[in-house]
Parts: sequence; structure tokens; C-alpha cells
Amino acid sequence: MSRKTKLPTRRRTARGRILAALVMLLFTNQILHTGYLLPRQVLRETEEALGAGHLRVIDSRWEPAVAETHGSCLVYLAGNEYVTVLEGTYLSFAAGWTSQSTRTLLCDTGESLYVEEDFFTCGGADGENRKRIYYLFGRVDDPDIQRLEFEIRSGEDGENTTCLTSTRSAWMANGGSAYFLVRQEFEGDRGRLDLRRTAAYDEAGRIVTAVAGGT
Amino acid sequence: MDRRQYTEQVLSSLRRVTYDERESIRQELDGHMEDHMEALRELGFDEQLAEERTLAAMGDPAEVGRELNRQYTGWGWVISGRIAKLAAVLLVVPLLCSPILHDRWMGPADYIKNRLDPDFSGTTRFLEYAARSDFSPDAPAPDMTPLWDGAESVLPLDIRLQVGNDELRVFRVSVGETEDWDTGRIFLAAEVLAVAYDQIPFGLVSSWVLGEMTLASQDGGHTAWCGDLAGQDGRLLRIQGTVEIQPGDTYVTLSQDRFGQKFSLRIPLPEVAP
Repeated sequence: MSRKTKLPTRRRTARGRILAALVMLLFTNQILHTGYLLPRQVLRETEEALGAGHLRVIDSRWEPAVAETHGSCLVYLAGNEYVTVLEGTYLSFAAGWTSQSTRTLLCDTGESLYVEEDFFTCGGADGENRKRIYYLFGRVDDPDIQRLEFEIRSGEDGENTTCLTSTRSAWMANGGSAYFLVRQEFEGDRGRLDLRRTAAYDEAGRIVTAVAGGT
Repeated sequence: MDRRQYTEQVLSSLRRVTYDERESIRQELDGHMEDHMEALRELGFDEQLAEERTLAAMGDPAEVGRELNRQYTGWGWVISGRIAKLAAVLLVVPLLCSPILHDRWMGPADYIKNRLDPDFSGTTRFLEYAARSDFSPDAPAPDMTPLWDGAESVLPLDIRLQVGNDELRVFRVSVGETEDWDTGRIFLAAEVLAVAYDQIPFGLVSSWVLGEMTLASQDGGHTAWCGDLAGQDGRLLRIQGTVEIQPGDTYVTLSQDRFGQKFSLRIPLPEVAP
């Protein structure tokens, strides 16, 4: 009686394990839509759900403040001719890279200015040192607009007003439009926090347009 | 020297093998020697003589060990195999957590069923939510008619439309009288049921394009929202819309114009007995 089995070689064993891991990864990503190894896969998922076509990444930045609560957090500003998206992604042990927040701004209505807001709450789980990372993002389609001023309402009853300014030098040109991403931290996680008004100015300081709240 | 001692001598010469490989070699040697001894027993050799002849045939254990050592090189394959094994184990975590992360997604069987033969099966828990405005059992219901079992005339359909990389499939239209929940007015209406899904099975569907469409009467005088009932499953949309029609209307129109995706789909209406 001769033995028909052979000792598996290192190469064969490794190839089998790599194939099994790839099959599992494919199943987890494509069927269950979880277990993403890269943060850009989260953005691609948003792209599919929107159906607006490919989203170009305009800016991405680590958000260490949010990382205190959720681990690594990467914020993407992405967009195309139809939409601008602010996507917050973080790395979770249970699900790989996953979306923490997706804010979509429709930019196909022919306006000269599109603006939207979003924020991430972070800080100690026991309620200490909580804060909100506030983002303003959007797109400027009018080349005359050189400066934006934002009025943000905060506080228990919205009694506080914060003014932020963003100039064209800080904006990101992409596909013929100028995108902006403004960040501000607010202490505490309670009370109102919203955009009251956005005013756009030209080089001479004349107001070009104004938007109440987000577009 | 017996078989066990022979095997231990061979294994003692191995310097570059992992624990698993060492055990595999042990089993291979034991099995090879057992096969050889079995063959000798069948020829009439006794146990001791068969073992002696087998060990002689195997050769010098130190030399066998050296030869095996030469074959086990390349730690790269060992490392990559272990990394792949660890990755496969770690992937079990999101796999097990997926039902929690997507707790409102329908099960695979219902997904496949609704994709092949849609009837909104597996959606009972969503239909009760669909009658509410914010998916709370206590919230007031919107003026949207839920799934319509009391329709006077029903027409099964199979109208399919490619929208980007998704497919919209209209599978039923019904006509009958219904009531405006705000005013109590009774009017003639048409209800359209459809599903939408990605062309790739289990892929994500464009909910912003196919989750909110416009349903219009034949003369365009009445329009209504037509979109995803449940809004929780990113892979398959269960679409419903109800619009007021006039007696004698023969079709309604389902349309969308968003993100460069534009279509206008004419849906025939069943005849209603006078």
C-alpha cells in the first residue's frame, strides 16, 4: 500500500491560506459591505449609494481629536459636478474602516455658493472634556467671490455667535470649482451649534451673495 | 533502534522547520514506515524483521534529516502564510458583527427572493414602519398609502430599466379608490410597486437616484413621491408610490432627473370594471 498524500510545501500552504483570506475578504467587503481595509473603500461605498458618479478626493485630513473617542479618524472632502461630500471615517476593530458621518451637499442647482455644516462629537466617555469638531464645507462657483464669512450659533439657546472667515487662498481648486473646508472646535457637547448665515464677498469687499444656514 | 527512535533522530536534525511542519514530517515518516512494514507483513515477515528491514530501507536518519532540512527554506512563505491566517481569523469579527451593523437589512434569502421574484417578502417589519413618519411606532402616519391590499384592479408587470449601474424593476400596478388621511376625501388612485438593486448581486444601489422619484398621472395634473419604503437596506430598495388619476387613464409616468440620470417610464394601468 503506497501513500498517495504528499507533504505540503511551504509555498502551497501559504498560497492556500492567502487564497482563503482573499475569499473571506471579498465576501466580507462585497457581500456584507464591512471589514474594509482602506478608508477610501468607505468613500467608494458612499459613491455607490449616491449614484452621482465618481467622487474626486479634494482634501483629506486626520482628525486626532476624534481619534480620542473612535481611534483613527480620517475626514474626506470629495465631490464632482453634482455633489460635495464630507465623509468622516474611522477604524473599528469590529468592522474595519467604517463611516462615522456622511454629509452630502447638492451642487447642481446653478447657485454660485454651496455651503453645508457637520460636526463630530468627541472626548471622554465619562462626559468630561467633551467637545465638538465643527466643519463647514462647500463649493464656490463664482470666480468673483474671494472671501466667505460664516456666522455660527452656539450655546444652550444659541446665544453665542462665532464668526469665521475663509479666503480664496485657502480654497482648493478642482474641476473648475473652488472647494473650502473650515474647521473649528467648540467646547462641550450640548446646546445649539448651527450655521446661521454665510456671506460671500468680492475682492473689493462688496457682498456678492448671502445664504441663510446651509444650502 | 525502533521506529520511534528513528523518527526522533530524523527530527532532531531539523533546524529550520516550524512546529506544524515538524509534526507533519513525523506523521509522514510514521505513515511511510507503517506502509512499508505492512507490505512486508503481507509477504510473511514477522513484526521485528519487518521493522528492521524497513529501517534499513529508510536509510541513515541523520542523512534523511539533513536532506529534509535543505528542502525547508524560504521563511517568506511561512510569514506570508501566517499573516494570511491571522487576517482570515480577524475577518471573522466583522463577519459576525455584520448583522448588528446592518440590523435593518433583509436576510440573504429575502434579498435573493425579492431580486428574482419581487413581492416585498421579508419586509413586514418595514411596512409597519413605512406607515409612520419617522419609523417610530407612536409617530403619526404620513398621508402616504401603505401596501394596498384592497385595490380593485391589479396588473402584474415586469418592466425593467437600467439606471446607471442599477436596475429598476416595476412588478405591480394597482388601481382603486383610496382616502386622503388628512381630509377624508375619496379619490381614484394608482399604486406602483417596484424594486431597485445593483447589477452586481448584493452591491449597493443608488438610493439618492432611485429612492426618490416622481410618479405622475397621465395628464400630469397630479404628481406624488415614489420612493423607498423602508430606507434601511442599501442593497435593495422597495419602492412604492401612489398618485391620484382620472377615470379612463391608461398609464402613469415614473420619472427622475438627478445627477445626470434622466428617465421617464410609462407604466400601463389595469382596466377598472365600471
